[in-house]
Amino acid sequence: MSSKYTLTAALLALIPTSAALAQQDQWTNFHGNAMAQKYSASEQITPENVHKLEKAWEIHTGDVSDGSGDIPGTVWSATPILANDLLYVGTPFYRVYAVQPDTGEVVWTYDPETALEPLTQPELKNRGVSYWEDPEGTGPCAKRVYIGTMDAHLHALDADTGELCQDFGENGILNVNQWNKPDANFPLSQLQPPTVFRDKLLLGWAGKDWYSVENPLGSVFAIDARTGEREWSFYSIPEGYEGTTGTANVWTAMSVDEENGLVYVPVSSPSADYYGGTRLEEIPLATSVTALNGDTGEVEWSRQLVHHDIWDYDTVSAPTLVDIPGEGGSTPALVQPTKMGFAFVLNRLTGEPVFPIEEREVPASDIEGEEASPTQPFPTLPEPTMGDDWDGIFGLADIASFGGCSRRLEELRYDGRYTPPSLEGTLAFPGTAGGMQWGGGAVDPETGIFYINSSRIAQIFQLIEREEYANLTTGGSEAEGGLFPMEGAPYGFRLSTFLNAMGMPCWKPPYGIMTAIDLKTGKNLWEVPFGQVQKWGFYMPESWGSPTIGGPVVTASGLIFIGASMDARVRALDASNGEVLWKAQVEAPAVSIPAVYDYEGRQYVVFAVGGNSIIKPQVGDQLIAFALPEE
Amino acid sequence: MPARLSPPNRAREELAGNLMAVPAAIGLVIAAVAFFRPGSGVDGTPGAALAILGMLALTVAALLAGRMQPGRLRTFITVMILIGGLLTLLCAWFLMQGWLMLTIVLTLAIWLIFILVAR
Repeated sequence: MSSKYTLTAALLALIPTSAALAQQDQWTNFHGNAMAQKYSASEQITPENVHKLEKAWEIHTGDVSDGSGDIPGTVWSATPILANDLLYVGTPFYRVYAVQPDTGEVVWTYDPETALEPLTQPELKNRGVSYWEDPEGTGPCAKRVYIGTMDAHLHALDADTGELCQDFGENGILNVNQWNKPDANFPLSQLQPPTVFRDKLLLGWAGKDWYSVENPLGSVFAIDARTGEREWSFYSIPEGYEGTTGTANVWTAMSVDEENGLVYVPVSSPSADYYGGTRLEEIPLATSVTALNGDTGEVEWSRQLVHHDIWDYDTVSAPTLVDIPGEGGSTPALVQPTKMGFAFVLNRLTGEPVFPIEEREVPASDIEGEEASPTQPFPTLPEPTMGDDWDGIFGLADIASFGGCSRRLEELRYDGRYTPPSLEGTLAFPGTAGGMQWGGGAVDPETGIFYINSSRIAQIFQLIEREEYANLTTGGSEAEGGLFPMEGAPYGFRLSTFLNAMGMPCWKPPYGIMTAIDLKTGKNLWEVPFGQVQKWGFYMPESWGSPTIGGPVVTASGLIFIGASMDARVRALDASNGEVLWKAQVEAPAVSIPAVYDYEGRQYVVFAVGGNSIIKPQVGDQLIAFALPEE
Repeated sequence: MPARLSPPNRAREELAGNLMAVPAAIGLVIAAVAFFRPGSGVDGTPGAALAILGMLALTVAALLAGRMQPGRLRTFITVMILIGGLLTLLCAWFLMQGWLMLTIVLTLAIWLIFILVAR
């Protein structure tokens, strides 16, 4: 063979590889790709050179509020997406920014001019935008960006200009609330960007937790990405339950198996969240991971992760889809993280467990009218990120409170995992705020190793008889706890975190960890405390870790990028052992999933820095990109 | 009534006091920047405010100590510089403010010199 032919053959051999890499190095989705892998094939930044990372650019959107004025506080959990040679991001004021991926220069912005009111959530929240390209389209709106609002509208924008696409909904805006029940007590808030499945957009919604028994029934709508017309609907609660329950909605992201035409929906718990006496009949799809036929919306399979959920253990994140490598071929799997600290590993085509799941007996309820499920599913592998028994009283906090923690514990009911809420107060470990949260995990599809951050938070769930509750004042937040009416139930509810009088956690650290799980064996490879707790500005020891909100990204070069921690730092970890190799201070906790992409030969890591009052009352509007120094 | 110091001793003490105030004043600026600069990691926090107070007190106390005649009051202020310096050092350590810690260590090092000069 002549050298000319050799060269041609070599170039041809390179083409598919380069194309595949180019595809992978984009970040066109909330999770990087539709399979929710949060994996970047980029290899420019390595464990050896990551210490050289520096700020490449930053912008401030101005869309921030600490809640002290007329505008509610903001929670910014958006993942920027790279598509169409632009970086798109939504803000908590539901505006869209399109910026240059390498400089941060603003190309266009869009303002939906929506009311900035806490219609469902107590704070203004946004997790970003979605991007869709019409494979047959040319000209304006052949490429589109979508952003939702708390008042249940979805806006479709031309990706080049930011102009509304007039053929979508009504002049570019779709009223999703038209599919709500007429007398609904809240709108179907569009805080999570739509999930793109072929030419459809799949819409879940967020509601108002803990306020009432009767709520809109959980649903997912598939709409035409061009017109906004509804193509199918999925309901998680059977007909006939109206008036006795509601929600079991899909408020978080979904994942997509394009090849098999399946969409995976993480279904949350039904209302009332902490009392199930009005919904004693089974609701099999509640607190489940459910596979839908993406074309029809029909249920292909479903696996309930909590029976008769009375702990608000919503399925919080999109399952991560991965083909687990093995000697006899790969296993098409999904990993479903949960608030309980379990990661359920299932065959994603059948829903059958990859590692055995056992039904184990759990404590009974002592509440009149309540019938807790006698058993709950426990995956035998991987090991949970929080044990079945809580970690015990933290001696330092107990001493600092002159035994206050121990005295409070004696008043509480605690019979292990899944102890039902009670009148005296139940120690819930994990609480509704932990362990794995909506950021989910990241997987390296080459190695089959799954990385996930989780929190260890002890909370107190207390039911209050209606007559007594009537004398109390409703009010509080997921962050601070408080009183929630659960109207329609015979009990109101008090949520609090198990702290001493000084605000110190009464349970032993660490409060947040990062774990690596080998999906081939189900074994944990390593587990390290992650982040640092901060109080009044003072940093606590690294061994204490930090509660986290937001998720990680793993790169082919062996790095994990993550913000998420209370201490407002972003970090790069060595994927082989969890060691922190680089960190940088940002303006608030980066409670988002970072975006990692290559653009014109340079790898960027971008964080939306917005804060979340659940972990710290500090807000921000900083979009910051890091890269290696230009040579 | 304590004996008055001779002019050369007086000048040395005043110099040592002024020298002690220099890193303390620099630390005051660093603490103020940490408090006011967004993204410092401790901006707007009670801990950073405490560090400002601590460094302000150290600066003023250092200047005062260098200018005072020997006596109980100066002894008290000198001891307070040590205690305040150590507590502010602890505060800076928990705030993870390395440069601030360095200025406090320098202040305390010069404090030692001041003690030797004042003997």
